[in-house]
Amino acid sequence: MKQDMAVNQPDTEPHVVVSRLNHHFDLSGGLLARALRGGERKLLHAVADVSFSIERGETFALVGESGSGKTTIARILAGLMPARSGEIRIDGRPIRAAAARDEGLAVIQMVFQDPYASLNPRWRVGRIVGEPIRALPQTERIRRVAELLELVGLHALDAGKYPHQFSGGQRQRIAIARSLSANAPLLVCDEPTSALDVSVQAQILNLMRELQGQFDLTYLFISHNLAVVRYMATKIGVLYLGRLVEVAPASRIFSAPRHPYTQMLLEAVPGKGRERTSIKGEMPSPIAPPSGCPFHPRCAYAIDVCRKVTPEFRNGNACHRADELELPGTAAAVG
Amino acid sequence: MTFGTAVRGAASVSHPVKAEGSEKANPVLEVRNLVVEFDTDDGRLRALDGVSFSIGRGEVLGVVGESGAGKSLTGMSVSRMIQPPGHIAGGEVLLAGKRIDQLPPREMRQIRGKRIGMIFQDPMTSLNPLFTVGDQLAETMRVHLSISRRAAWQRAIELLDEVGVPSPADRVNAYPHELSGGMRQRVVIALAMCAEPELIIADEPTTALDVAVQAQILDLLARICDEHGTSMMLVTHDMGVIADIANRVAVMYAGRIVEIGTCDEVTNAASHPYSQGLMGAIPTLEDRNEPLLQIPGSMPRLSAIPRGCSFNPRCGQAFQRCTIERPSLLYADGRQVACHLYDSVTGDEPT
Repeated sequence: MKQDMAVNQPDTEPHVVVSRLNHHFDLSGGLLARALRGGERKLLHAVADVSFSIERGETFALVGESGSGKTTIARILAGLMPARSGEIRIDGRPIRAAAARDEGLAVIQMVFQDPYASLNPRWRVGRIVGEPIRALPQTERIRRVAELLELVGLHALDAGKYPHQFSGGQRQRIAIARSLSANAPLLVCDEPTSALDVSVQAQILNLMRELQGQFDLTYLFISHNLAVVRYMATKIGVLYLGRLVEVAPASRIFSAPRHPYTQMLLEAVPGKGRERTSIKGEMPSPIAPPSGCPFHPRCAYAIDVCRKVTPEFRNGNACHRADELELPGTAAAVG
Repeated sequence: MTFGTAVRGAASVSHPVKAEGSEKANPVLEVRNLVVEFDTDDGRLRALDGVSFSIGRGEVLGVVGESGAGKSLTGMSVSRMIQPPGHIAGGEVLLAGKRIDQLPPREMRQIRGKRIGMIFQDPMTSLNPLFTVGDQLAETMRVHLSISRRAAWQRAIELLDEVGVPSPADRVNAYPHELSGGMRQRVVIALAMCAEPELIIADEPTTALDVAVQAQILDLLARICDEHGTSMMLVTHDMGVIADIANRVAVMYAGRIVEIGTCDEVTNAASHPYSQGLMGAIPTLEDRNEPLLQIPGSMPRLSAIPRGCSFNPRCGQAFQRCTIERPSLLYADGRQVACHLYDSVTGDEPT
C-alpha cells in the first residue's frame, strides 16, 4: 500500500477527484409484489454523473435545494455508503484503498448537521474526541485530546464531561475536535451550522476558517444557505436533481452566474428590496424527472431543445444556452 | 409600487409601502409592558419582562432574536396560546384599542382565527391530516363568518387561487399529505386569511422551506399585507427574511426588547451593542475576507439573568451602570433603544 501511494501521488493531481459518480435508490416494491400487481421499477436518481475536484486547502461547497443530492454525495465521499458507479480518488488513490480501516489512517472525517445526534450521549467527551486515535497509547491520546479541545475553544478539563453538559455550539466544537484528531486532511461538513443560532454560527464558521488556514485542511462544505457558502467557499458546485448544473469559483458564481438555476437560487436569497422575477414552481419529483434539461419547467429561458435534450456538463455548466445568456449576479442587487 | 402586475403563483413582487409613523396614530396591536412568567420547580421564571411594542395597519413588524429570547412566546402571548405553567403576569394587550389579555377563553377563541390569524413553521401544526383542504377552509369560515356551506366552499377555491395554489378547483379536494411543503404553507396562509383578520402572527413561516419556495411565500405574505391592509407580526431568527418584508424590526434578548427601529436602521446601522453584534455575525452575499463578528458567550438562562442590563457580561461597551441598573426602552435618534450608552442622563452619548 505504501508503494501504491508513492506511485499514484503526482503533485499535480488535486486532493480530491470525483468522477462520474452515480447513485440511485430503489424505491420499487418487492419482486413478488411487482409480479402480482404489475408495478414498475421505481428508481430515484439521487446522484447522476457528478464529477468535480477539490484542491488541497480549498473549500468546495455544494449548494442546492432539498433533494438535490448534496447529502448523498457527502455520505458517499465520507465512505458512509457505497456509490453505484463512479470513482473517487483522494491524493491520487481510489477512495476504497484510502479509507481502508486496517491502515489506521483516517483521511476523511465528517462534521454533521445535528450536534445532538452525532455525539454518543453515553461517552465522555474525551472518549468521543479520542475515538479516531484509539490506537495510540493512552497517555499520548489524553494529551492529544486536551490539545484538540483547547484548539477548538473548549477547556482541556471538558474531556471528563458528557455531551449533554454542552450547548449546541459547544457540541459542534467537540465534533470538530473529533474530526481533527486523526489529522485527516479532508473534512466533509454537512450543514455544520444550520442547527445553530447566528451568533454561534459565526463562532463556528470563524473557527473552521482559522483551522483551515492553520492545518491546510480541505473542506467539502454542504449548505443550503448561500450567504454562509459565500463566506466559506472558494469553489461552488450547484446541484439540481442530482446533477451538477454549474461549477465555478465562488466569486464568479455570485457575480456572473451562468446557469439559470444558479441565478434563481441567488434571487431567492431573502434580503432588502430585491426584485424577484425568475422564481417559479417547485422542484419536481426526483422519481420522475422532467425530460431534457431537468430544470426546463422552471426555467425562464427554456427553448425547444431544452425540453428534449439533456444538456452535457461542459466548461463548468450544463445549460444549452449558457453562451448566449447574460444572467445578472448579486453584485448590484445587494444593498 | 404596483401590485396589479403581480402574477399569482409566480413570484413577481414589490414590497409593502413603508408605513412609518402610522402605528402611533392608530395601532392594530398594542402591547404594553407584557410580563410572562413560568412557575417551575426552580421557582418563578420571568420569560418576558416588560415587552412593549405596537403594530400599525398594514405594517409588518419583524421580531428577531436567538433561541430563547422570547420571540415566539411574545406571539403566543398575544394570541393567548401559552400553556401552564406559563401565564401572563402583567401588562396589557390591545387589539384595535380594546384589551384582549383578560377576555375569557371562549371570547378569545372567537378572536383567534377571526381577528388574529396564525401561521406556524410546520404547516402540519395547523392542518388536520384527516380532512381535505377545502373542508378545513370551509369549516373555519363557517365558524367565524355567517356564510352558507356552498358559499364557503366557493370562497375556499377563491382563497386557494389567491395564495397561488395551482388548479384550485381540484386541489380543494386534496388532503394535506398530497401537497408539497410549500403548497401546504400556502394553504395555511389561506386558512389564516379566510376570515380577513386584522393581524397575522407568523412564527418562522418559511424556516422549514427551501430558499426558492421561501422567496415565493415571502412575496405572497408581502402582497397579502399590502392588498388587504393586514398587519403582521413576523417572528423569525433569519435577518434576511426580516429585511425582505418587514417595515420595522424589534430585536429581543433574554425576554426583553433591546431595540425597535425601521428595518433600514436596525439592519444597516443598529444602535444597541447586541443588535450590532447580531448583524455583524450574519454572513452576507458580499465578498469579505475579515472574520464575522463574534459575540462572546451565549444568552443567559432564565434562572440566571444578570443584574442590570441582561447583556452586560457579553457587551464590549459595558460600564459600571450597566451592571447595576436595567436600561429601559427609550427614544434615541428616532428609534427605541434599551441601552445606557444612549441615555442622556449619563452624558456619554447625547441623543
